[in-house]
Amino acid sequence: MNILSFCKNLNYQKYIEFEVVQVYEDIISDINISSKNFHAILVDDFKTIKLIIDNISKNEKFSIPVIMLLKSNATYVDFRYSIDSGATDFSVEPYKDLKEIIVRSYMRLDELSDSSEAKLNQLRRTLINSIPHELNTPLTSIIGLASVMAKEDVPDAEGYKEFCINIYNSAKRLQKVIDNFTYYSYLQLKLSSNSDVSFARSFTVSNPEQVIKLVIHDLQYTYHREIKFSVSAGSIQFNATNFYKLVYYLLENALKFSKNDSLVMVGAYPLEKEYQLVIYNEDSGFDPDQLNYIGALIQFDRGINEQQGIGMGIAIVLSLLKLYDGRIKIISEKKKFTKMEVFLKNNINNQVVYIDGTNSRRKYEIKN
Amino acid sequence: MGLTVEENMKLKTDTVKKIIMVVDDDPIIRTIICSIIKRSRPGIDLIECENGEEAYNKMNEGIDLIFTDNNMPKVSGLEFIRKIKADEEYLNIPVVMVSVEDRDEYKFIGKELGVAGWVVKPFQNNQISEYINRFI
Repeated sequence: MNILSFCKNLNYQKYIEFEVVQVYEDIISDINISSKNFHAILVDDFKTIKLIIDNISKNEKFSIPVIMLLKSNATYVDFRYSIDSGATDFSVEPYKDLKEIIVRSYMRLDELSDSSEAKLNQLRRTLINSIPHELNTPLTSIIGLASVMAKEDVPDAEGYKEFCINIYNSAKRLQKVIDNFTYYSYLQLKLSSNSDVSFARSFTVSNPEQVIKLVIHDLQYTYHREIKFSVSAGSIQFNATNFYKLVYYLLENALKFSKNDSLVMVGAYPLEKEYQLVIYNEDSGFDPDQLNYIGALIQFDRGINEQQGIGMGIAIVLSLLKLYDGRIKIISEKKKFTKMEVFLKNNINNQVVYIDGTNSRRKYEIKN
Repeated sequence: MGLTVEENMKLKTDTVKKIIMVVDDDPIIRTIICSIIKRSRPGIDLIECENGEEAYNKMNEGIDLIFTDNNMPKVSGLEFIRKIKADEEYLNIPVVMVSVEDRDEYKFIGKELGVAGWVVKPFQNNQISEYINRFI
C-alpha cells in the first residue's frame, strides 16, 4: 500500500492538523526533519525508520511521533523491532487504529517536549537495560570458572593459574562496573540539587597540572604505554578527586581505543577565563554520526549489533562537566585520530583543594 | 554372527563424531562452556566463534548443537538464529541461547525463532550438560 495515498484518503484535518509530506529515503540523512514541523511521521520499513530516528536524534528533538506501519502478517518480532528501532508506536494493516495511535503518541511525546528530559529518559532506559548485562557477564565468569575448578577439570598447574587470573580479572571488571555505577548515581544526585551544584562549584583545584601528571603516571603504569605531555599551571573550579576522575576517564578512553604503539598526548594550558585540557590519540576515532551520539548523550543506545560496553565513562565525564559548568569539544576522524578538548572554568575561592605531590601523593586537603 | 540393522545403525551413530559450536564474544565464557562440554562428552569436537557472523560462516562444518550468546558485535545471537532457521540445511540444528537476557519478550522472540532452550547467565554447569544430554 502507498502510504502517501493512504494518508491523503484519510481526512486527518478534521481530527488534528496534519501535513502529508513525502520524504525520499536517499535524502533523509541530509535534511533537518525537526525543522519541518511534522506532526507525525509514518514509515513502513525498518531501514527508513532507523534513518529517521537517527535524524531526529541528531537534531535533539523528540517531539515528533514516528509510527511504524506493519503488514497484516507481522509477528511479535516485528512489533519488538518497531519499538527497538525507536518508533513511538506501531499500527498493523489495515491501520484501523492509526488515528488513535497518532493522537496518543503525540500527547505522550508532548509531555516529554523538554529535550533534556527526553535525553535523561533515554539514558535511564539504556542504563536499566545495560546494567544487568555488565554485572552478570563478569559474575558468570567468576561463578563458571570457580565451578569448573571445583570439579577438578583444570588439566595442569598452568591451566589452574590461568583460571585464577581470569577469575581475578573478572572480579576486577565487576568491581569497576559497580564503582562506576555508584559514582554515576552519586553525580546524578548532586546534579538534581541546585544547592549541591552551587556547593560543588565553590571548590577550586589550584594545581590541576599536578592532578593531570598523577593520572598520566597511574595510567602509564597500568597500560605500560608512554604518554607524551605538556601541562601548565592553572586554577580551576573543580574538586580534586573529581578532576582526577575526569582526566582518568578521558585518558583511559584514549588508551583503550588506540593501538599500543600509537601516539597519545596530553596538553593543558590556562586561557583567559578557562583552563583547557587536550587529550589526543591517533588511531580509532569517531565518524560524524558517532560524534553526534556523544553530544546528545545517546551513545548508550545499544543497537542489536553493537554491544560493546556500557559507555559509562563518557556519561560520567559529561555529568562532571555539567556539575562544574565545563564543556567538551571532540574533533575526530574515523580510524585516524581523536582530539578531546575540555574547557574548565577558572575560579579563585577561599577554599583550596590541592594535592601534596611530594610526600603523600593521594592525600587531598582542604584549606580554609 | 553379523550385527543387526539396528545395531549397525547405532554403531554408525555412535562412531560419527559430534560437533558442538560455542558462540560468545567473551573468551572466558567460551572456556567455561567448553570445559563443561568436555567433561560431559570427552573427545567431542568443539568449534568456538566470537560472534554470529563468524558462526554462520562455519555452519557447513556439520554442527550438531549450538550454544550461543545474544549480545555480540557484528551479528547478535538472535540474528544468527534467524539466519540459520531460514536455511533449510541448518533448520533442524538445536540452538540453545546462553544469555544474561532474562526478559520475557526476548525469550518470546527466541521461542518464535525456534530456540531449543534458554540458559540465563550466570548459569550452573548442569544447565549446560542437560542440553548436551538431550541433544547429543
